[in-house]
Amino acid sequence: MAVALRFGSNFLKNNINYVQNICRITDSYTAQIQASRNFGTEVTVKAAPLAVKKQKVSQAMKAYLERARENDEFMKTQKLEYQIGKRHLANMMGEDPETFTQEDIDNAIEYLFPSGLFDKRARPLMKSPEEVFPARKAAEFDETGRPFHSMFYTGRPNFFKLLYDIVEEMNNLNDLEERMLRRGTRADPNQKVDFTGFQWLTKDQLEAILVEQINDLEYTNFTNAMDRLVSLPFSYKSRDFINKFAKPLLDQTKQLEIPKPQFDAEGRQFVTTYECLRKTARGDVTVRLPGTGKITINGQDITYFEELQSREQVLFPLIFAEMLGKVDIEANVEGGGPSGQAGAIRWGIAMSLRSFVDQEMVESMRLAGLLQRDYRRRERKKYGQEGARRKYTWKKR
Amino acid sequence: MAQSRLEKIGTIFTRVNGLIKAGAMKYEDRPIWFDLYTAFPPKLEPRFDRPAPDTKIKNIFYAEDVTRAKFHKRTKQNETVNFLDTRRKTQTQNFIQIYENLKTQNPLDDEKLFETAVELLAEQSKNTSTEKSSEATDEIKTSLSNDFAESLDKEGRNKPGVNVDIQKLFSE
Amino acid sequence: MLQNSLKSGTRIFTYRNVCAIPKRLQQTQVATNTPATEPENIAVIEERILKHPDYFQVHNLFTVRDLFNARVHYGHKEGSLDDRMRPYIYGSRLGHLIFDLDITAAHLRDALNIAAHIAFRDGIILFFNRNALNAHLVEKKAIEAGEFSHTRFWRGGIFTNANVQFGAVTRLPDLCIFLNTQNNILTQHVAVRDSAKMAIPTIGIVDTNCNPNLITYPVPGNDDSPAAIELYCNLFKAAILRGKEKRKELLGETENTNSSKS
Repeated sequence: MAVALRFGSNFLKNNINYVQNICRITDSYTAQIQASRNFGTEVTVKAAPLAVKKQKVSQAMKAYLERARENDEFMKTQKLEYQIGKRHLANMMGEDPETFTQEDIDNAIEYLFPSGLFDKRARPLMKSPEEVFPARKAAEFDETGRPFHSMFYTGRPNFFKLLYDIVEEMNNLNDLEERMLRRGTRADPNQKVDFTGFQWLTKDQLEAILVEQINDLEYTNFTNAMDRLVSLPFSYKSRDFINKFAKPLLDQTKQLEIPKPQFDAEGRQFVTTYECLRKTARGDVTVRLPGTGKITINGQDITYFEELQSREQVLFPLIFAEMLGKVDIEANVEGGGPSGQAGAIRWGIAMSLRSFVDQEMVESMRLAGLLQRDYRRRERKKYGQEGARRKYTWKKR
Repeated sequence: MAQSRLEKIGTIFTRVNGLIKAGAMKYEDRPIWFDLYTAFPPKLEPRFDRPAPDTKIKNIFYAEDVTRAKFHKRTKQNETVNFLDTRRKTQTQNFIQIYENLKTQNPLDDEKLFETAVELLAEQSKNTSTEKSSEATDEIKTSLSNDFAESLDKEGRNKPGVNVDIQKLFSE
Repeated sequence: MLQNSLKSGTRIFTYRNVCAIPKRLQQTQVATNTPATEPENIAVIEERILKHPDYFQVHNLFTVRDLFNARVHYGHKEGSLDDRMRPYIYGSRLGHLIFDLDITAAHLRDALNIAAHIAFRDGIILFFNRNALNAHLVEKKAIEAGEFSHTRFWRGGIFTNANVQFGAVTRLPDLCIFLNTQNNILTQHVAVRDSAKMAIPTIGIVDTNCNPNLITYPVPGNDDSPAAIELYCNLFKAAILRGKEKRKELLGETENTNSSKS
């Protein structure tokens, strides 16, 4: 007993068997304690009939483990080859192998293996094996053969769990709305999620996230369900969940950002818009505030354009935004003809004016079509026809 | 493992039993439910070709259905019934109660009994309606006009944020 | 407890004093004087349990009044009656068929008993419901019960061609519970026939327009209203959880006896 007293709890935890050998007293008290100690242990299959079943089923587990091991080894060899290849490539290009990034690799490959193939994905590439080989699913069932996922037997558990989660969110939001209505409060309209500039993930992206194949029909179901979720009044509460599957439209993000004006040497604010394109004309426009309404195009006055229409095109955004005498315009254009150059300058002025004008005016400019890039190009002439569309005169005989 | 996929022959139990007896499946390999089926067999064997019994479906009618039918022919229903509220009695239930009471009290002939019952019901409903109007009820009174006004309010939520009149844009 | 052992005069083991196990852990399950300790504990226990007509007290889970309140006795109309369902019908009220709840209760008790036993033996249970109204609820309750569900389009070879469909050797369910034996187009769900093919026992809620022949343990009742489906789900979930708990309890004890022997 004196010996027992000296044992600390840690010692006991580490030497359970020793302790158990000491307390071979089979009174109910000790048995109780041991039951409590083993409460948290894992269930292990032990009895003979169950053992037979385990053997049969764990063949599946064995097969899976075998495949997983092979895959791991394969990935290891691939990674090794990639690393070695990277160093060789760096040596070839005369760069330092230690600081050779993926971008450098891409450039090197493009240099060494120039390819004129149209599809970028068909061209030679060298990327790390994780990007090249598709992701695989981990083991889906445990050693007794019991699957982990509740919807395993549907064949596409991740996707259907996703649909289930969407419905669960909808139900929660509906309950919330009911509770709020009973209290008399309405949904806050200011917080309402705005999804005009967003679209849902494409089918391929969704497949990549879920590691499963999806039908077109199932994809439309998914999109409809998400639309419905977003249309609920309290959808801003599930913003995190929704944002996982919303992708902003690229053009929108660029347009949404209105550039801040910079300051030049004289302390005037100015905004430059580059890449003003219209037909074949290319240019850039600088708008300075405060100004006197001076317009300079390629060093000349507005008389650079000899036609009235071209001059009107240049002045239209200023008139529309009521900034005619308030700003100075500097423009450089080259290429194209008068109409194209005038259109390019007009777009440039409108885009620059966004920074000096309030939101409502920007919206009205957008509605007037001033901020839209005119993408029209000259259509090519086709053989057998006189022009792009004009056919040769049709003779009946 | 041996299997038998012939669902139209016998039951799952007879087939598995047959496999075990024939030696195609070992007794140790028997499925989980085999013992359970032996201990707790279903009430009817789940055979594919079990014939449909020829029992007739009897109609469920009660004695007071006659008076109910007469009452419904005569009076239209002008109340909404909430099936989940078991405390409230419907108009028909009240009528049946009054009719039964009258019948036990004074056995007149059917026509007169019916008429008196209808009158009594009308009186009762008048009394209860006067009581109700004086009481303060905590029910939510919904009427068509209220709902319409509410839905108009809801529509206001969907108006666009920026007020831009396209006419104004090109008026200059 | 300490006093008891003191009084009984057995060797006082100062286990507790030494390693200060908190009091709550000491007062866990009443350790019954563990009986015959053989390695084949589970099999013996399972056999013993089968002799009991209702080991998991399944009849306590519901009353006929509960079935009535959940509108389980509502059937479809006389015109859509399947002749094989005639024995389960009480009668027809103005053309609407009404189930005999006494018969339903007896069948339901059988079904719950089987479900509990299969859960006790660590079997895989698969819930089916192809009715869009109730499918979500069924999936939810299946997740809560720790079992599986399939409320989507049934691809042909899931049972009959499982190894190819899932890519690996798969273990098939040991019990299929149909909360609605029909599919979207009101014909019998293919899984009923497939379970019969693969010798998987089935429990199914059969309505007046369903075919109960291929279902091992049919339960005649309403399969359309959400109230009825919720009741069934709760009952099956309770039965399954009871089976699982019992298994955990017994396994904990048998492991305890195994380790104390060593």
